[in-house]
Amino acid sequence: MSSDDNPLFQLFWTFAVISLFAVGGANAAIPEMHRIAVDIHHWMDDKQFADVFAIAQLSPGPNVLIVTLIGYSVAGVLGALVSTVAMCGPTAALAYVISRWLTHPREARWPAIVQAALVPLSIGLMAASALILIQASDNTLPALLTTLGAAMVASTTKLNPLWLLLVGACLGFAGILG
Amino acid sequence: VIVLAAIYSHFGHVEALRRALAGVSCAAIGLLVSALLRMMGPLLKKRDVLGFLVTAAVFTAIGVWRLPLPAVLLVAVPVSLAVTYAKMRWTS
Repeated sequence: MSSDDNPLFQLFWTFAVISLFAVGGANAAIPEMHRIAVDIHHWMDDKQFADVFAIAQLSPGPNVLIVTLIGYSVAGVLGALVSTVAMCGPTAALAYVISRWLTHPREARWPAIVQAALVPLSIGLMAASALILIQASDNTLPALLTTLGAAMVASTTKLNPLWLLLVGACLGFAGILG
Repeated sequence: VIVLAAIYSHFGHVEALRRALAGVSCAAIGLLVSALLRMMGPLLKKRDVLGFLVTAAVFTAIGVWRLPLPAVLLVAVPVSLAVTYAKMRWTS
């Protein structure tokens, strides 16, 4: 197939598939994005993937934007658009179909079961995301400590997360993280 | 975002910016870990052993073995649904 060589086609196909399997949101799909973007297609290296993750967290808006950024770095503005549409379209369609199906009174018991079944799944996926991002980004002890510190502060206080990102940026800028 | 992406692709090679961004990603991972801990709270509180097993299995398959997501979910979703359904019938 000649379309295999077209990065736009690959982007669309990749993110459309991920989108249908994105149980637990974009952060749960990070391992799969990393596997495809870094390990299979070599669109970017570990460092760039971590950078893209950082930019997506910094910018206002949903975490899905990481897809837009990967698309941009592979194929420019068009790549960004194609990736975003591929990521959001199928999910929206699926959500519409399922929500119509669930409004049948006969099926009223199912939402609770499906939800209860998917929660442990998404937690496992997010834990895998954290592991992979730590491997990609926390290569030095100070970097790892920064992650742990941010996790602790975010868990124990109600500080706006942006402050933590800012502190991270300052530490990185100062060259402490190696 | 596209503007941010464009800025990144132009200045991405500037060493200071890359360092700062690496710092942001360290902190952002920390936020992810904290969200994770918050979600695990109810699971631990309910002593949901089966749920915890599902979590651990998915984590190992995706995070450690790096298996493809669709394959893992095609197994994990039906298993988790069956387990949850059986548990609900058992308790009610």
